[in-house]
Amino acid sequence: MNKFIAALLIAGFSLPAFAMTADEIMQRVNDAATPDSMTSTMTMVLVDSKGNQRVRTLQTMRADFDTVEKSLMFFLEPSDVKGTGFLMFDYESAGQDDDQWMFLPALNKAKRIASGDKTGSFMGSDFSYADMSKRNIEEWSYKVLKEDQVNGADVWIVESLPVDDSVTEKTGYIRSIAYVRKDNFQVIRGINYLEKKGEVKLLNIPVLKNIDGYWVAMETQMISQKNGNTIHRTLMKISDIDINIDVDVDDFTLNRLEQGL
Amino acid sequence: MLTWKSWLEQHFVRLAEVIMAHPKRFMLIFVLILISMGQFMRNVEFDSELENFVDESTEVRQIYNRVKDVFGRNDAVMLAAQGDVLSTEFLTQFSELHDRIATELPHIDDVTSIVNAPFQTGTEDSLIVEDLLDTIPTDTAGMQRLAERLNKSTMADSVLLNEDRTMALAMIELSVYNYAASDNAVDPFASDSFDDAFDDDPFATDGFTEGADVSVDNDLPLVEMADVINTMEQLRNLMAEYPELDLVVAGMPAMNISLMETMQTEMLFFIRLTVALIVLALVLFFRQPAGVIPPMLAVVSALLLTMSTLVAFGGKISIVIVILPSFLLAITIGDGVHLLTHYFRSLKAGEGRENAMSHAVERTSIPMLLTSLTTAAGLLSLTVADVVPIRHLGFLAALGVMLAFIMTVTLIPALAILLPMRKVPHEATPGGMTRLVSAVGEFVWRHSGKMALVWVLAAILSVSQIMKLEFSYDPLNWMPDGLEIVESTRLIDRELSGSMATDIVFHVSAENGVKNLEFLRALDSWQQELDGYQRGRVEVKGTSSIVDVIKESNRALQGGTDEYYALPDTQALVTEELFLFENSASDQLYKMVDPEFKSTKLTLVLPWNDLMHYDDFIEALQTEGDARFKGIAEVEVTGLTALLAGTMSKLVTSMAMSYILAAGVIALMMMALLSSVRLGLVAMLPNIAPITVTMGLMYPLGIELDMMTVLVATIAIGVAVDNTVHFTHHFRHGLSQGHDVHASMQDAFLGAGQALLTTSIVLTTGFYVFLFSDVHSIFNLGFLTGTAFLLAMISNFTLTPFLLRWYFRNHKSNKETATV
Repeated sequence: MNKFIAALLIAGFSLPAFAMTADEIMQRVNDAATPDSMTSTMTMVLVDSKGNQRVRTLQTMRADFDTVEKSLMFFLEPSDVKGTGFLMFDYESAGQDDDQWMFLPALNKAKRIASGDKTGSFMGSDFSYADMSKRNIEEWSYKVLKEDQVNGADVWIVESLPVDDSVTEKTGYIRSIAYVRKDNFQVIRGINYLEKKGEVKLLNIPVLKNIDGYWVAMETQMISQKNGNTIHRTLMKISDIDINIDVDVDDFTLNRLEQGL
Repeated sequence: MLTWKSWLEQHFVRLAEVIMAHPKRFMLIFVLILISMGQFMRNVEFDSELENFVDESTEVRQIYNRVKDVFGRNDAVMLAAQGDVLSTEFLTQFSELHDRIATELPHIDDVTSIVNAPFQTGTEDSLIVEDLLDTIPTDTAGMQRLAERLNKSTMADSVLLNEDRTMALAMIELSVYNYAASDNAVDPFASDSFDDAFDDDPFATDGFTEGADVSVDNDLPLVEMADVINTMEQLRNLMAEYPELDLVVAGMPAMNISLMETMQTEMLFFIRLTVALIVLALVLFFRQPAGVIPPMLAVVSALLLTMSTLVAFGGKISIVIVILPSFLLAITIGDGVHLLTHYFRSLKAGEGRENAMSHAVERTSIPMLLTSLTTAAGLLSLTVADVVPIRHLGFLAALGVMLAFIMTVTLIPALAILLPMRKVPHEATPGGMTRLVSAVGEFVWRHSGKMALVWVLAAILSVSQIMKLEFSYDPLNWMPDGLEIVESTRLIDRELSGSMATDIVFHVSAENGVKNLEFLRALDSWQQELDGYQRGRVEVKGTSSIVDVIKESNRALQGGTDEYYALPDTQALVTEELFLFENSASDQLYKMVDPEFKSTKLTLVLPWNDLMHYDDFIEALQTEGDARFKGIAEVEVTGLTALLAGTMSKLVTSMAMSYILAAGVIALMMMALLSSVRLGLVAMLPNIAPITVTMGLMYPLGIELDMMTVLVATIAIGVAVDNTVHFTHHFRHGLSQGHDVHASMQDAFLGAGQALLTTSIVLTTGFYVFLFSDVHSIFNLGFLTGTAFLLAMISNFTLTPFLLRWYFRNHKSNKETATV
């Protein structure tokens, strides 16, 4: 899951860039350095069109193991589901479906959750499960639309189009536009066009922080719009970050999940 | 004559004389007014949304709107595909159609069918959450697995498929809000709207400000009828691309559109037919253009001004207003007929045009004014009704009647001068019509007692029949048999659970109260009882609620066996299972519960039925719900069915009120007009009697009391009384000339009889044109109102003379001879 953060929010050190192609830019975004492991507290605030807010807080831990990124999460909020946990394996290979287990304290059992649909909402937020996974770079074709400035920073505006319908089926998107900062290859804005005409999801990263040489998005916002009208929005906020901690593969097992918080 | 009447009469004559002196100038002003008001007609809109029958300010409508806002619209479009559902070809096409509806059509909130209904299943160590039709099987074994899966899904089995698996339903929910109407509807990349989207950032500063105003876009316009028509048109085009699926469409939005199309066709047809018939009647009576063009122009322009007023004030044409044009034409033409009858009579007597018109205005303006006022008063009493279009009809028709009076006393004199006219021969001896009317008068004078007795017996018999009448409200029955929507609705009702839905909404006071196990158990137990519940003619054929989701989750989590298709035993597990579902299918969940888990709904799927049959059912649900959930939750039964059933049942009471009010106000006016309380009351009898007899015919003829036929009494009383006013006016004129009662009666027959006969025939014909209507309710309205006018004419020729004779039995005459 947290490869999403790695892919979109954490990039390598800033490099000068001259006349790069769209593919080269997106390759640099994809290759951005990520910490091998990280723990944090993630808070998501979900706001519907009536202004109703719901807050979810999770204690998260993630680590890279060869070709798979493993994450373990436990809910702290809402209080009535405190201790409910998720274990997720996000495989690098495009053909391999992610694995996901859920631990329900009341049932005192972990269950493998199989869901074919990655376009569904992640924890009721505006992020889909596909958004939370790393995109396979070869599944998209890229084009630099223009160069611009966002909040004083120079950016490339890169359009991504799915190479075939199966990518759209998997992600729900027919087109994406990313605003990539020239100084650090960070995506700081994104516009994702959904299949349904007039529906878009807007990504905004207002707060980036450099921690031990890694860029970390402290806040990420996603807004769902219909014909320019916001119908739902989510703020994802990360705190208590600890990177490159000492973890091993046993920290991401069903046994560990069933031990709970 | 009383002073105020003479004063008014003189002013009307003076006005007519001024107009006749400057007819071209008057016509110019008239045309300018007509053109400027006519501009509004370019914006005329039809509104067949049944929810708009109920006033926005009423509590029942506000509950309905609130529920709609939280849970979405209650009126789904039901699209049914027919064929071998368990075949690869069918599933491929149906799946493609489903996706295209969801992505290509505007104003679609959601489409639910076997393609995407959530399906949860489990084994000892896994839980599978996916769409019901995850992949389309291509072999027998795969199809067999799908068949088993469909059997296991409560929603598919009870709502989305028929028993034989030869019909699959797609429920298309329309959006509440019209997002496309917004000015923001631009590509965020090609504008500043990206920045705008984050400008009103509720997360600014610390991001978690409790109570901060973070609501967005709550002033969006609602999806309206025009938007629905657009969506339905595009759906029809899409349907045409899938002929193999043998698609049929039903549900309230489709019903509304068919209703509107029927309304438009009917309205145009009946305006033309009414105009043609009235013109024919006028040609037959007056036999020259000057007797046809002026009264037609007067009523048509009054109609145009009335309809323009409706549009100018933002009103729309509803199913009830459809009858207004024909109705107004029929009831207002009488003014012109009365005026012209006297005008031509004076011409025949050898007078010049100006003098003849002045005399005609002098003789008829006051009775015309008073009859217009009584008619308007009767119609205005409709404004006490709870149903919005009936209120509009009452107000507009009253306005139209008064405008028609003004047009008659101004436009007809102007045209009388301007239009060329065939010479009217001087008539020294009475014509055929006069002789006929006179003979009728003599016959009635001899047999009035027997005729009055017949009326008394008929009225008593009728009252006994009226008591048996039942109220009905069935828009499906308004449309012609064989119309596609009628057939589709019946087919879907027969094969699937039904095409109507009622929601029972539960409000718990505490946040997360919906998750409470005690509440859920109460909901589960009631839902089980309601599945298959029957009350009267209403049968619940399908139910769905949050309980289904929890039970399916529980079954899937506990290994997939049916013994676990139940609510979990512990509160903690309920909470976690709901949370699991919320995290995997939040969109589906929030159709059943609000985000704070304080409100949830139980949806009942029902076949289409006369809405009045739902009234008891809904009341029973409300009582039962209040009792079961006392202290646990507040219960509200809502949805379009509940909204309309409640309102329509109240309509009976409010229409009874309207009738009493109309009769009361008209009686008061008759008392003022006849300058006698007793005579005023007596004059009401010849009008109440024919209406009572007309309504008494309904039950034996199998005509139900519905939103249209309930109008008959109120419309008829105001119009029928005109005859009595004219007749009594001439009768008393005779008495004032010193004639005895017998001679005065002859005066009345000769003075008012001919015009009375003419107007009654025109009125009856004007309403009998509705017998050509394919809409049963309009047909019945036409038949009953036309019959009421026919009977009112007969009663005014029979009962009125009897009553006047009885009332003036002690009157002594001054002269022996009668003059006409």
